[in-house]
Amino acid sequence: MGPFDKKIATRTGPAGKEGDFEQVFKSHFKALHAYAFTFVKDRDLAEDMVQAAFCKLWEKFGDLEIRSSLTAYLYRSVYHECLNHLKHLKVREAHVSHTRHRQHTPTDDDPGGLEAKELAEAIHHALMSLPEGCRTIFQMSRFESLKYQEIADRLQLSVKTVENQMGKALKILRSRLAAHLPLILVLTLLYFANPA
Amino acid sequence: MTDHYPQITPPDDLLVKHLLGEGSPEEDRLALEWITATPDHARYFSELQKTWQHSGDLEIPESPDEDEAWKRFRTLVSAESTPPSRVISFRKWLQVAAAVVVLLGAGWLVIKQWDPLHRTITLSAANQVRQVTLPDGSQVTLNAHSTLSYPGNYGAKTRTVRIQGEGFFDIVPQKNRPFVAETNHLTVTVLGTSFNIHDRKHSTEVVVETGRVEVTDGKSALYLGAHEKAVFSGDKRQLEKQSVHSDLYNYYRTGTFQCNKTPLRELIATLNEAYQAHITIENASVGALPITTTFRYDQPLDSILAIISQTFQVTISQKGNRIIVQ
Repeated sequence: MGPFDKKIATRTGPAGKEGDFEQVFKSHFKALHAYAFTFVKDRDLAEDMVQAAFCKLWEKFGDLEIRSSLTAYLYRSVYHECLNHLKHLKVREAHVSHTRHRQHTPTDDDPGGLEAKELAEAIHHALMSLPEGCRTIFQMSRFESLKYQEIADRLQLSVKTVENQMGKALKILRSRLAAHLPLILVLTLLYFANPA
Repeated sequence: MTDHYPQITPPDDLLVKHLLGEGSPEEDRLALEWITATPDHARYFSELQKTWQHSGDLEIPESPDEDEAWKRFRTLVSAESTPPSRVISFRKWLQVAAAVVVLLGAGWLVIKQWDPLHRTITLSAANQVRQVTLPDGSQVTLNAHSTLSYPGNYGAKTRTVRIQGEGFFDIVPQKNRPFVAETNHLTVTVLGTSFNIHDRKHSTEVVVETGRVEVTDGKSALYLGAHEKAVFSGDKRQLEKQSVHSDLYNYYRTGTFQCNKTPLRELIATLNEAYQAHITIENASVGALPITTTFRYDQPLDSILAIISQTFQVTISQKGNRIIVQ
């Protein structure tokens, strides 16, 4: 049982619902927002994804019996919101390629701009190829800088599982980025040659 | 993507632990041992390292303030002053109910489709006359543009078919299982006979060739013997018995239009159906002229009309797709 699951199970009235819910919301919001951002690459859109996931939780809160951890549930929920959103966007492909990189499109005078853009695209694609559980664990390690033990506690998994999933994540990402790795080396050298 | 290391199986879990400083001293030692074993191993590990580094390149902006986000969330859900679960539950129930209905319907359709006993077999004759043998050996000649359907369990207890358009039935006698043909207006029940059903939009005709049949429109019933016909008029909603004075109705089965002192208007009406034509007779006395001859169905309509024109000295003219006899 995680810290929040107990409260869900013993919740009695609407007041309790609200109090608990606010706590859950505020303690998870930023991490989930960062997570959603790696999918949709837009700050506002990322918030929409997280809000949508919380709306769904709100509807069920109190009736919901979450077998695993609430944190894992929320990550999974955001993951699916994002995938659904991207699926819809795919229909409007032209629009997608515009928004996706709106914030990252390097200017013309940015040296190596095209390569950087390609690399960013490759990293995004590589991340998209990770299965849900694997991606959540990778996210928590890479972008929330959590230790294996902390991740295991929050997701109510064994440390061994976190180890396996992290090994798997890096293995997949490396193989996906393999073609770009020499490029990465060049870019790194460039970066060290002329630090911005 | 190409992988440069088909020949090695890297201990990824161990390497990543080492990379992230999660390894125990013993694990770190093992990892280093592997990495330094061959240049390929070293290269693999450095690629993992770079992958880790650059996966962090995705620039993640500072996330919005959670207190502000909470306020936005509250406005999003504020429409519900009471716990929303009830309202939502009701909607959910509706969704569930709808889903159940859809599933049941789909299931029924699937069963209907796959269970040979419940499957409906439908046979259509498009542009040409079609010969159908029913499971009991009975023969049906289906006129063009007509449809015959019967259940997959035809013959198990009853022998029931449905017909739209026109068909000639030659039914194998079976004492305990009457044969039933249904049309939009009539139900024809027989034990073993041959008869013709012609189901039109506004009327239905049943002509008996051999044996006896029972015809009912739901209100009244008629018993027909050989060479008798029942005509149901949709306008009058009435069923009446008439005598048959030509074998014209049989044209699509015999391939001939047999006229034996048949009034011209009857022949013309049959030709209209057979050739999908629009022939009208302007003059009632011409329509009453009796004709005795046999035309073949595979003959072009023009040549039939030419013969009619010569025989009766009538003019036949064409206006658009309408043919006028006068």
